[in-house]
Amino acid sequence: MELKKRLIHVEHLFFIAYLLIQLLPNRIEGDVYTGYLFLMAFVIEGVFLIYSIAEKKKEKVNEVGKLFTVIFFVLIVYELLSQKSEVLSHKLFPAEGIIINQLKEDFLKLLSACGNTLKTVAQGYLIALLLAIPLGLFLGWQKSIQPTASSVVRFLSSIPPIVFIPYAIAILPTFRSASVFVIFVAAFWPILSGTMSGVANIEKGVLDSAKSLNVKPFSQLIHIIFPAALPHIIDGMNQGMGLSFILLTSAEMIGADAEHPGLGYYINEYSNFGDFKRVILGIVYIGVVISVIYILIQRLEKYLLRWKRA
Amino acid sequence: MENKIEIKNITKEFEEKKDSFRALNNVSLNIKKGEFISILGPSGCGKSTLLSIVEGLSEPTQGEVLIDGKVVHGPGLDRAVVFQNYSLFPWMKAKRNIAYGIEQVDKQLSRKERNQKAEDYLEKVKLSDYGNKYPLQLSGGQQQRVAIARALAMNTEILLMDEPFGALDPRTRHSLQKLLLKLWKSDFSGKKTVLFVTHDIDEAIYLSDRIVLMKPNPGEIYEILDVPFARPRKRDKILLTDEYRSLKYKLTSLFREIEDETDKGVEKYTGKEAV
Repeated sequence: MELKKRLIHVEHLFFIAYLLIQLLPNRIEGDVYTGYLFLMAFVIEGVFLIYSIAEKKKEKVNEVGKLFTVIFFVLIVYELLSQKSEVLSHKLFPAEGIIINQLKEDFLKLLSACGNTLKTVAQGYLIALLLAIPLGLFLGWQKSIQPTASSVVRFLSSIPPIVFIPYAIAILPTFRSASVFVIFVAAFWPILSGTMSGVANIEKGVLDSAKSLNVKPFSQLIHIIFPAALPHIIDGMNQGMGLSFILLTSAEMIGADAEHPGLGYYINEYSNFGDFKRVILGIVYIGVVISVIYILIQRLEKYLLRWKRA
Repeated sequence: MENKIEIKNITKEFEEKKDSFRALNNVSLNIKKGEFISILGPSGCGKSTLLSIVEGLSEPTQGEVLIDGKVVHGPGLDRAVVFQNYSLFPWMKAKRNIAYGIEQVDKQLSRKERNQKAEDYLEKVKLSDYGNKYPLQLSGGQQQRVAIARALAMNTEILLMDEPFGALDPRTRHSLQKLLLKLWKSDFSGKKTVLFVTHDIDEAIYLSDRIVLMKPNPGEIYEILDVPFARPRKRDKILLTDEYRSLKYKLTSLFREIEDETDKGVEKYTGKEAV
C-alpha cells in the first residue's frame, strides 16, 4: 500500500538510534532531564509521522525525511560527543535535556526577546524599504543621473554599517533608535542598488512597447517600471534582509538596552556570564526564527513573481 | 484622395565610433487611407527602422513623416503597434494588457467598460477563456493574438506591425494572417491603414495591396509592386493562379538581385568571394 511505502524512511532508524543512545551512561552526575529529551524526540518523530501520512507524494515525504534525518543525526552526534564521551567540554556544550529544560524556564523571556528583536528588525528594514525603493526608481530612471548615482551608491554601500554605530549613538535620541538605525543602514544600500540596477536593466523592447502605447510618466512608473524591475528589487531586498540579520547582534549590543532586550542581547549577556545552556538555547532559537522568516519571505516572493512561471 | 501617411525623403544614420552607418537613404513613400502595405526585404534593409520612425519611437536624421498632413514627432493616439516580441507586459494578465492599452487612448471609460471592451476583443481573437492567464502561460501564437487584440482595441486609424508572426511556426502564421485580414475587414469604423513589415514573400502577397521591396546598404526602396488579387482572398484559391506564380517569381528574382548586389559589396569589402 502507498501509505506503507511512505512510512518507510531511514529517518525512523535515526529516531530509534537516538532513543537507544540514551541507554549509555552519562558523564556527569546530576539530573540531565532525560525526560524532556524523550519528549522532544517523540514530538519531532510525531511531526514527521503525521506529515508522512498527510502528504500523498512520496518524493516530498522523502525530501522532508532527509531533513529530519539530519536533525536526528546532529542531535545524536551532539549527545555522543558532549554527554557520552569526553570529546567536548560539558560546560560549553551542556546536555540536550538541560537545554530543553531551560527552554521551559525561559519560555516567556525568550518570547519577549524575540518580539523585541523582530520589532527592531522590522522597523529598520521597513524604513529602508520605504526610502530605498522610490529613491532607486527615480535615480535609476533618470538617464542623466543614473551612472553618477551608481558610482556614489557603490562607494557608500561598501562601508560596513558597524562603523556608523558611534555616530548613531551620539546623534540619535535613544539607544533603541541607534539599533534600528544600524539595521536600516544594513538594508538600505542593497535595496537601493537592486532597485537602480533593476530599472537600468529593463529591456528596451518593454520601454518601447510602453512608449508606443502613449503611457503617461506616472503610470509608466507604477505599472511598467516598477513591475519590470521587481525581480532585481527582490534580489536587493533579500540581500538587505541577510545583512540585517547578520548585524542584528551587533545592533542589539549597542548601549545594552536592558529595557527591551532582544535575542542578540540575550545570547551576548549569558555568554558573558558563561551560562552556555542559555547561549546554545538562544542560538538555536534565533536559527529557527530566522529560518521561519525566510520560508515566509520565499512564499511571498513566489507570489509577487507569479507571472514569471511559464 | 489625400495621403494618409507621407514618408518624405527619410534618411537615418547611426553613428558608430568613426563610421556612420546609413540605415535609410532618402526613402519616400505615399500611403493612402485604408491601404494594406507590406514592407518586404532581407535583414538589414532598414524596414524595422522605417517602421519605428513612422511610429515615432525614433527620429530621422533627415526628412519627415506626415500623418494626415501633420509631422510625426513621437508616438500618438492615431497609431498602434504590434512588435515581434515584448508587445505584452508579462506581469499583467492577458485581459489586463488589453484593458491597459484601452485606458491609454480612452480616458473616459470606466473600469467596467474597459474590461468589457477587453473581453470583446479577446473574443474576436478567440481567446475568451484565456483572459486570466499571464503572457508566459500562453503560447507564442496566443501571445501575438492578444497583442493584436490590444492594438485593435485601441481603435487607431493606423496599424503598424513589425514581423509580428516571425517567431511562429508556419501553421500558426497562416491562421494568424487569416485572422488579421478578417479583423481588418470587419472593423466597422472603416478599414485601418496598415504598414506590415516582413521578410516572407508569401505573407506579403497574401496580405497586402502593395508590396514595397527594400534593399540594404544603404536602405532604399528597390521596387514597389501591386498585388492584383481582389478581396476577400482565399489562400488556396490564389496560390495556384498564374498571377500568383509570376508575382512570386518576380519577387524572388528581385530578392536574388538584391542579394547579388550585397555579395558584390561583400567582395569589394573583404576582397574575397562571397559564399
